[in-house]
Amino acid sequence: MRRRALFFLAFILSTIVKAQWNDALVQVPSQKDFTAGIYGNADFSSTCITTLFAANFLEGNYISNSLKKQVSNNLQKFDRFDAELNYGVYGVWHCDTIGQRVFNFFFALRHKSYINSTFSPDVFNLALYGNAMYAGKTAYLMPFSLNMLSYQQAQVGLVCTNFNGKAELGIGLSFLAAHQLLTIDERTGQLYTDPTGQYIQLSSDAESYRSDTSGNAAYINGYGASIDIYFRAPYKLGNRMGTISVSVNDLGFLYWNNKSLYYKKDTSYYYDGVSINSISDLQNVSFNGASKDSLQNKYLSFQRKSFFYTIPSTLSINSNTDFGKYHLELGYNSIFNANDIGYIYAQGDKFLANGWMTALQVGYGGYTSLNMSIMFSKQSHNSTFRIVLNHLPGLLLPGYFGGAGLYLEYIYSFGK
Amino acid sequence: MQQAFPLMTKAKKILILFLVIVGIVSCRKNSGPSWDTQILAPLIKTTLSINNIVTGVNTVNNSDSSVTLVLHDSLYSLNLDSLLRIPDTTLANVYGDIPFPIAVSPGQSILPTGIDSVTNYHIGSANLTKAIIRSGYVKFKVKSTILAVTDFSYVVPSAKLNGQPLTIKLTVPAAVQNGNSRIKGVDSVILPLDNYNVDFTGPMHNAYNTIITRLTGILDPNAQNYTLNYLDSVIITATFYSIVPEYGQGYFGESKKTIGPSKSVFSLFNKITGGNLNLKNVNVNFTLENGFGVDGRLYIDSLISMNSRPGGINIPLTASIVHNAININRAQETAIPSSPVIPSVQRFSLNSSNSNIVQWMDNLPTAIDYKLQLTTDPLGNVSGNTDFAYYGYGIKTYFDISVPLYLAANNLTLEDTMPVSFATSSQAKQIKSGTFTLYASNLFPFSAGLQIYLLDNNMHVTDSILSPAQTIAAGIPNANGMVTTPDNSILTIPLDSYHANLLFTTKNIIVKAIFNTGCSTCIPVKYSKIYDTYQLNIKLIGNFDYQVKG
Repeated sequence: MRRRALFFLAFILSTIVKAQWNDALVQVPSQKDFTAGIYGNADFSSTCITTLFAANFLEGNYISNSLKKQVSNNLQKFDRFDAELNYGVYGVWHCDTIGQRVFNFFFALRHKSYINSTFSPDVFNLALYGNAMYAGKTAYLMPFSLNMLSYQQAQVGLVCTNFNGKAELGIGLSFLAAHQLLTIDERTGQLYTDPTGQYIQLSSDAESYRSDTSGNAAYINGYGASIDIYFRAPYKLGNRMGTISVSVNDLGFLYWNNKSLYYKKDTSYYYDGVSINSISDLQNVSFNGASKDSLQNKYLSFQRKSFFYTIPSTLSINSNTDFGKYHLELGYNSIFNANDIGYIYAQGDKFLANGWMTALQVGYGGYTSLNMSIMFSKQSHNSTFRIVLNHLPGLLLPGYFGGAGLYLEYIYSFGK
Repeated sequence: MQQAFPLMTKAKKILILFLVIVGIVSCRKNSGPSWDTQILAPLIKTTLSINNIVTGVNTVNNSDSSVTLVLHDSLYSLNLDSLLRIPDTTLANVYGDIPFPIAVSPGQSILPTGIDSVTNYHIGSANLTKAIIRSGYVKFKVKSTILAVTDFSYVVPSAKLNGQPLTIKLTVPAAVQNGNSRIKGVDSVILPLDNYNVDFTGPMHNAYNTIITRLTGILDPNAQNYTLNYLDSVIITATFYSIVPEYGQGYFGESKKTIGPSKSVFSLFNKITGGNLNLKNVNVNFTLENGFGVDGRLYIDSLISMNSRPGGINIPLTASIVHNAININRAQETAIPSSPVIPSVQRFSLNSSNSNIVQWMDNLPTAIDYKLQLTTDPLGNVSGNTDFAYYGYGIKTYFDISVPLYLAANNLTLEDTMPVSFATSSQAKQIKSGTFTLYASNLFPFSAGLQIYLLDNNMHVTDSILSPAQTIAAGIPNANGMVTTPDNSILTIPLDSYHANLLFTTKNIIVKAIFNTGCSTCIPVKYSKIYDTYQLNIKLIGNFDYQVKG
């Protein structure tokens, strides 16, 4: 049974890198009936935005030209970034038998918040360098997609750990409380700046959803539901045992209240200066007139309405082959509706003495290009502690790569 | 103990570690990140015609599309309140010293009855026969030592509103015996006199300043029988105050007023601070308008063009209207309530052939210094008490000035001080150095040198923006003297961070423009005509560092 527990432990890193089923929900410990866990995950990754840039941005520092240059050097045809903050608690009751089936029953309370985007190099350049570099040129603002979402999740579910032999089948149902949402989808967008700056022309076809802005971040602005499905089956490859698992997480929606905001417009704006009738009208000319609120009211006329919004859902497929003290996992994850392009990875696990275990993952895709992650786990008696450092390139070379992630989890088993 | 709570101990460590990480994230600065951007954008655009350049003055387009400035400038006016002033007046009646007791019944008179009082109303030197009151009040007050309630009525038959005489009724409480003395019963009432017609000709309609009043007093019908004796007395006052006439008729009396030396601000050139202006021609009408039914006579001692700018001089007007008495005819009544008066108007045209008015105007006066003598009814009561005056009408003197914009300007300097608020202080800090470019397309046949001065809170100049001042080139006239193709100029205004911050935080600026119409030394003077088709198109482009604050 200990070997089986280690086998499950090997899934931990992949579950952290992308939202998958926590193995504590599905494992079958030999000694205790109950498991409780607490976890937290903060993660940032990008194809172009370096860790150093992101850290300075988050800290509210001045963004120097050298920091901007770091990002410019990484710009591709399409760029992405993602930042997440997730944490929660869960509890599992293991191995209750109903008929011939053995079940784990679980519940979880989670907070999830995401911000992710796909953007063109011109969007970054315009925002960080201004439009002067585009004098006489067109800046292409598409594709541009931004999603900011935060919600909380109350989940109950069960896992049959002996489904059709040694396979496992799990399902979780969640009630969701929506907090904040901002999505912008710029389908077409171009900004032309006259060579001498005599006019600026913007054409834009954009759609945006936004939650009620009158409350603070803790306000509940909507409700929803989601479902998680999990299936894992053993296989034998030569004389090696392995498992293959498929899961879908967060397949659901949020319904935002009727104070939410919606914008959709395909139009073009031509600006050639503020008109005044005489020199004395200078006293009425002010940069205050170009404030964020006034421009938003003038050009971005939101309408209030309720709407459904599909939350980001994750499809995960992976296989894990047991090589004794080593395991090899190959997998693929994709997050839908979140500017993700899919992530493939290979992961090796090594089990050490005294309950230590470590894993190293190498992957490609997601919101970055090359990714490496490392996990350490210590199991002692009834407790397990895990720490994962994600996006090692971004942590080790923060001026060149974009990414930093930390996952912490503590699990405690108790009962008979 | 530690072994007894292994879960708590480890959970605490994990929690603390996680909180430290989250804390690092959450302990970021309150202010968001900031970075510098280079913004290239149009800021201000305008198309200025002559109407936009010359503000505060009306313009007229002539048949040849040239433009003439038209200005109405008041000099002096004599209003009704100066001609006819009705002072506050109190009319008093005292009744007492009753020689022997008189028994009176309720409702019976306690005052002598049957005789209207004829009262002379003092109105200065005027002999008023009729008036309509625009506003004013009468306060009627009675003090009585009669130990019974009494009723009084005060009627002015010569003051009527809608045909009804002015009537005031008052019930006065009984006096109270207090030992050997009495506490008087007192009451008063105030009535407005608006729109009352007052006949001042007395009972025989052949007098002036005379009104008729009728006073009655009775023992209140609800009082008990009462015997008047020597201790009983009544003091009755009627005070007319704050009287403003709407109309007056009579003979207002000969009055001679010396006006001035006084200064009247002349606004046409008030934004010009220097330089020379040569006008090809100027037409000025000096107008005397008499809205009173009173003869008058005006004597102009002086009309001086005062240039109070540094180095400016004063030029007296030389014309036939100066130092010659001008008789002013009286106005006529129309009997039309909405327009009751046809004023008598006399105009005196001043031009280059009968006066020095062109030089007088070329002096760019900031004010007109004048001294006048105005006499009303100089021939006495020749109208037989039919002088009249209406509120809102009077004797006025003013100039109607027409300045055809056919001129030569030599360093003609216009300055305008104006409040500005380009940005809040926080926004101003976000705008760093940059270059502002002014694109000008000018059809006017004059160049304009520009400078902008920044003022501190004490309105002192602290700095300038253009260094040195730059010039918008003049449009070049064709063979017909008309500019048909604009001349384009590009003015570059570099601003370092210090001046940018100063510009965007300043609250007041002076815009200074120096105009030249070309040849300043030509003899004879080369004049340029301004047409209504002329325009100055301006667009200001900013190319500046802007610090974005997240």
